[in-house]
Amino acid sequence: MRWRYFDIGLVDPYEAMAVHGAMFISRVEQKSPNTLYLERYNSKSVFLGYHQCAEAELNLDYCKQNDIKVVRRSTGGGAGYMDPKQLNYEITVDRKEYDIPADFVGSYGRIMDGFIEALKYLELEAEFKPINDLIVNGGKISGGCMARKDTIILQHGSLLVDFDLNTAFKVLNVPRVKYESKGVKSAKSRVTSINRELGYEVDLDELKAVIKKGFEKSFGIEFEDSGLTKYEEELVRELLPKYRSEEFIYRM
Amino acid sequence: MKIDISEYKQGLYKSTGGLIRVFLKEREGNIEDIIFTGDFFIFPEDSLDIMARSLKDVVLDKNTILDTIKEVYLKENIDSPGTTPEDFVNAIMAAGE
Repeated sequence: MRWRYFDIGLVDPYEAMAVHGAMFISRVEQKSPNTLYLERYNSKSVFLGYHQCAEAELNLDYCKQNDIKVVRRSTGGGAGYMDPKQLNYEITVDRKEYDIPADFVGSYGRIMDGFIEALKYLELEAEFKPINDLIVNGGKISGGCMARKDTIILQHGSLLVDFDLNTAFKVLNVPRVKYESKGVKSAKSRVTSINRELGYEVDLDELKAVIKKGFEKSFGIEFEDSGLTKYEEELVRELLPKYRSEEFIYRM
Repeated sequence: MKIDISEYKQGLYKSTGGLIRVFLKEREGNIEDIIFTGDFFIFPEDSLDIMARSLKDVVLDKNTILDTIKEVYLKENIDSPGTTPEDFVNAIMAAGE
């Protein structure tokens, strides 16, 4: 079985959201193949979950003063601060083709298997921690979100290659109740990065190569490099104004 | 719908699935307006608005609210990993305090 591999490189964060939406719609309509897609954002950005209140979750003044773009996803989950030093992924897959469990945690965990295999090539031992974290040495190295329709899953998340914790915690209002229950002193101690765990700066091309290998092994597939289809490109153009609109970004 | 959050009472509750942040306007012991926000997952996504609408003018009573939310869960076939109807009630009651 072949999956599409599409690495868009550095991308505008609003455009990235439109690309995700386009690939999901097209996959649901059976017009696109299963896909592993990689991206990095070309600016400092913070991504709100679909249900989050912008004013409550973010320090909007700080974002404005520091040219941090405020973006809203169409998927649930929490806000994430990103800059060009993270590698983000999206996977669209028909779960019934790969016996991926139907429930959220089961399907999320099955997709994480690909990354767990990938990180083994870098001699990092990762584990999935429900409901949506990937952990290395007790620290979160990846978080993500999911959209689901029929048997199609879109899973999108980050791989913290490097992470600017200090800026992240200035951008995000992390309420105490959020991390107290996890039994650690502060939310900061829960986050790590690939470079920190490796003790050196991983080469991005090497990381991308091991991700491909990890998924090929975990799902028994081969990748074919390809870009967006014409239909997906049309959808991107249609969806982009929504993701750029204040009405959507500040919907609550 | 942009919220002026200063007009609402806020309730926070951490479920296994995420943080629920409720904005509540109360009038004479009833829910005048309610908005559910947070970093949890709920499928289908728009069932959250339906849940909020169904709670309008409902008396601010734990059991009444729980029954209303459970009804929406059944009707909309809601899947909210790690978050239960009881968790939403806890967030509402935290705002009502």
